[in-house]
Amino acid sequence: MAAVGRNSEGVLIRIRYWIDNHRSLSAGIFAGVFVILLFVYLYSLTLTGEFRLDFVTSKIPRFIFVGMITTLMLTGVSYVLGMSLGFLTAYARISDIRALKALAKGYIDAFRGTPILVQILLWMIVVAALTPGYRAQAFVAAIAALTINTGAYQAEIFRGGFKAIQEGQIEAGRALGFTSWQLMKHIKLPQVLRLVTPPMTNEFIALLKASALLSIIGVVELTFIAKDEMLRTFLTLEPWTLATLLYLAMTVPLAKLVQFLEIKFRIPGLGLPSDTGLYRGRKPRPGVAASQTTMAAQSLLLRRDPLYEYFRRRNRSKV
Amino acid sequence: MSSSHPMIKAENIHKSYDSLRVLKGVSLSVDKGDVLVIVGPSGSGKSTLLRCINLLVYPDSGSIWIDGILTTHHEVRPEWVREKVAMVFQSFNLFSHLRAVDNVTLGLRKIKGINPEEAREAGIHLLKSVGLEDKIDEYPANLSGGQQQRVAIARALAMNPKVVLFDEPTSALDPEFISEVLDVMTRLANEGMTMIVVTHEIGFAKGVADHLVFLEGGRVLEEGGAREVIESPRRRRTQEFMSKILG
Amino acid sequence: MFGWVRSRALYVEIARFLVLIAVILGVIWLLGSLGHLDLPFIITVLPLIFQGAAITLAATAFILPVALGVGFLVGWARFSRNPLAYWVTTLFVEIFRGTPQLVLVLAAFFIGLPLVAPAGANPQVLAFWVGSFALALHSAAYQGEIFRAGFQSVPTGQIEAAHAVGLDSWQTMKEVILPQAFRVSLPPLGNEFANVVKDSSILGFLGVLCIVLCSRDLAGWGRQIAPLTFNVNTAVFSWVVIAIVYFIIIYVMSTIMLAVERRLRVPGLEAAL
Repeated sequence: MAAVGRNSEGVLIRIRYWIDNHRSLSAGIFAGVFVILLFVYLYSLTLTGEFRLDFVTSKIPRFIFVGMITTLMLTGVSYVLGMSLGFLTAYARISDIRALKALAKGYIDAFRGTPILVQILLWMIVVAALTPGYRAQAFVAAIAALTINTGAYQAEIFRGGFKAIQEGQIEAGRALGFTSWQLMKHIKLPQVLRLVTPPMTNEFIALLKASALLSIIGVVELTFIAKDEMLRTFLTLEPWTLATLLYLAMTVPLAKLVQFLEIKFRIPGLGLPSDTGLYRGRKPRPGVAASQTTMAAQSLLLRRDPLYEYFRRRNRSKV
Repeated sequence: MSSSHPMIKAENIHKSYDSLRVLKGVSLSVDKGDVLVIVGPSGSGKSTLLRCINLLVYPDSGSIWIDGILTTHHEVRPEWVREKVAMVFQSFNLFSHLRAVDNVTLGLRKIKGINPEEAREAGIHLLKSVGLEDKIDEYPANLSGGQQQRVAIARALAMNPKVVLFDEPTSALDPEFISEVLDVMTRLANEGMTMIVVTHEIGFAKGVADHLVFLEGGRVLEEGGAREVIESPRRRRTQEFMSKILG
Repeated sequence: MFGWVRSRALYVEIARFLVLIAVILGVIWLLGSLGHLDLPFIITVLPLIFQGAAITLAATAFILPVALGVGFLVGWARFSRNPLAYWVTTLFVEIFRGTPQLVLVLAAFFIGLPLVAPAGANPQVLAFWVGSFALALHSAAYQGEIFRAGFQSVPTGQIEAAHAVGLDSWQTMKEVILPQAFRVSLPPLGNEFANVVKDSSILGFLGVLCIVLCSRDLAGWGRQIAPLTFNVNTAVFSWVVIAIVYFIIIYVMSTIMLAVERRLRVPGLEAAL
C-alpha cells in the first residue's frame, strides 16, 4: 500500500542526499581527493623524469620567500593605499560639488576602462623619465600603477555600498536628530562596511592576480621568478606548476573567505547573495523573489567595466 | 457520494523534511464537484499537504488516489498527475518573462502541443472569463496582485484540470484586491469544479465550501461540513482558532 | 521598447563621440606644433597600431564565443544538483579564477603548446590560439558564476509553478529558467566582455618571449613602438593612443550589448545596476 515512488531509489541518489546534508565535509573530501590525485600524477611523472622533484625542493624557498612575499607585499601596500584613495574618490563621486564629481568620475573611468597592463607600462615610462638612474624605478612604478588602478575599482565598490543604503533610513536618521557625522558613523558606515567587505576581498584577489603583470617591467615577484627559473633551467612544467599552485594557495582561501563573509555579514533585506549552490529547491520557501537584489549584490562581486555601466545608467534614466 | 469513487482520496500521508515531521498521517477525501477548505495555524502542514496531492513533493508514506488512480505508485508520471491537478500559489508565481496570455497558454503549447494561434485564442478566452480581457499582452510586473492571481487561476484552468488546488490564494494580496479573486473562485466552484482551498477567508469558506478540515501539527484535528465546523466547532483548539480568525 | 536604437539618443551618442575624437586630435596637433610630440613618428606607427587592433579584435572574436559556451555549461553545472558536475565545475572555477591571466597564458604557452603543437606548425599562429584559449577559460570561470547567479535568480516558486503546470524538468529549464536567467545575466556579461578585451592585452606578452614576434596585438605593438622613440612624451603618447583604441573597441561593443539588452527587455526582469 505504501508504495511511494521516488523514495526507494538507488545508491547514487543516497550519495546525493548525503552530499546535500554534509556539504562542507564532502567539499573537503572532493578537494582532498583531487589534491591527492594531482600529487600522485606529479609523482608518477617524477618516476619517468618528466617532472623534476629536485627542482621543486631546491627552488621552493626562492618561490616562497622572494616571490610570494614580494607579491603579497606589493599587493598589500597598494591595496591599503588604494583603499584611502578609493574611499576619498567614492566620497567625491557622491558629493554635491559637480567639479569634484566629474573629476572622480573621470579618474574612475579612465583607470577602470583601460587594461592594467597598459597602465603599468605607462607608469614605468613616466617613472623612468622622472627619476633617471634611480635603482628601484620598477618598484615605484609597480606601486603607483597598482595603487591608482585599485583605487578606481575600490571607489566604485564604496560607491555601490553607499548607494545600497535606502534613502528612507537616512531620512529616519535625520528625523531622530542625527548630525551628518553621526549619520555616517551610526547608520551609513556600519552597513556600508558589511556590504563592501566581500567585494573588497574580491578586489584584493583581483589585484593579486594583476600583480603578476609586474613581472613585465622587471619586478622580482612570483611570476618573474617562475619565468626566470624557466629560462635558467629550461624546465617549463615545474616552474609554472609551482607558481600556479602558489597563486592558488593565496587566492582560493581568499575566495572562500569571500563566501564566508557574504553569509556572515549578510544584512537581511539588503540582499547579499546567499550560498545556495547545492541546496537549491530542497526546501521550498514560498514567496522568495530576491532576483533583483541578489543580482545587484552579485554584480558588486563581478568584474565590472565602467564604460558599459555608464551607458546602462544613462540609458536607464531615459526609459 | 454520488459517484463510485471520490475525486481525491488521501490516506495516512506522512512527510518530513530532515528531522522536521510536517505531516503525521493525514487522510482526506473530496467528491467530484465539492469544495474542501483546509484551515490551520501556520506550520501545520497545509501547504505541504497540497504539494503532496499534486506530487510537487513526494510523501514519505501513504497513498493518494486521483479519480480512482493510485498516483503515489511509482509507475505514475508526476507530469500526468499535474495535468489533472492544477495549482494556484500564494505568491502567484507567474513567469516573469512571458506576457499574461503566454503564461496561460504555456502548458497548452508545450505539453499538449497546440499550435500558438489556437492556444492564444484559448488563452484570451480564459483571460476574459477571469475578467482580464484588457490585460492580455501585459507582463506580470505591470499587473496588480489581484490581476496576477487571476492570471494564475486562468493558467491553472488552461490544462482543463479535474481538480484545482489553491494555496492561500489571497493572503499575499492587498485587501482591495481580495474580493476580485474570491469572486472568480466562487464562480469556479458554482460551475462544478472540484477544489481544495487553503485559506483563512472564513466568509468564502462559509458561503462556498462543502467541507472543512482543521489541520494542526500535521494531523487532522477536526473535520466536517464547513458551516458546522466554523459555527460550532467541537474541539477547544478549533474554537480558539476560529474565534481568532473571526476576530 | 526598440526605439532607442533608432532614436535621437543614438545621434547624440555619435555626436558626442565625434566631438571627443576632435578634441583628442586637436590636443595632438597642439602638442605636435609646440614640439612636445614627434608627430611624424606617431603617424608612421599608426598603421601598426591599427594592425594590432585587428589582432585584438580577432582574439576577442575567438575568446568570447568559447568563453560564453564553456561558461554557460559551467554555470548550469554549478546550478544543477548533480554532485559530480557541481564539484568538477567548482574546481574549474576556483583554479581558473584564482590564477593570474598572465600565468595562465604563459603556462598554456610553455606547457600546453608543446603538447598540442603539430610538427611544422607556425609558432606565431599557435601562440595566438593557445594564449586565447587560456584567456577564454579564465573568462569562462567568471561567466560561469554570472550564469549561475542568473539561474539562481529565478524564484523557486516559478519553478514549482512550472512543475504544477505539468512541465518536466527539461521543459522547465527551457521555457522558464533559461529565458529569465539569460536576461538577468546580460548586464554582467556585458561587463565581462569588456574585461575580455582588456585581458587580451596580455597576449602581446607572448611576443616578447618568442624570438619571432608571436602575437602582435595592441599592447604587443606598444612595447615595440615605445622604445623606438627617444622622446618621452611621444613614448607616453603612443601608449595613450593605444589606450584610446582599446576604449573605442569597448565602447562599440558595449553599445551593441546594450542594444541587445534593450531588445530583450521585459518589465520586472531588469537587473538592478
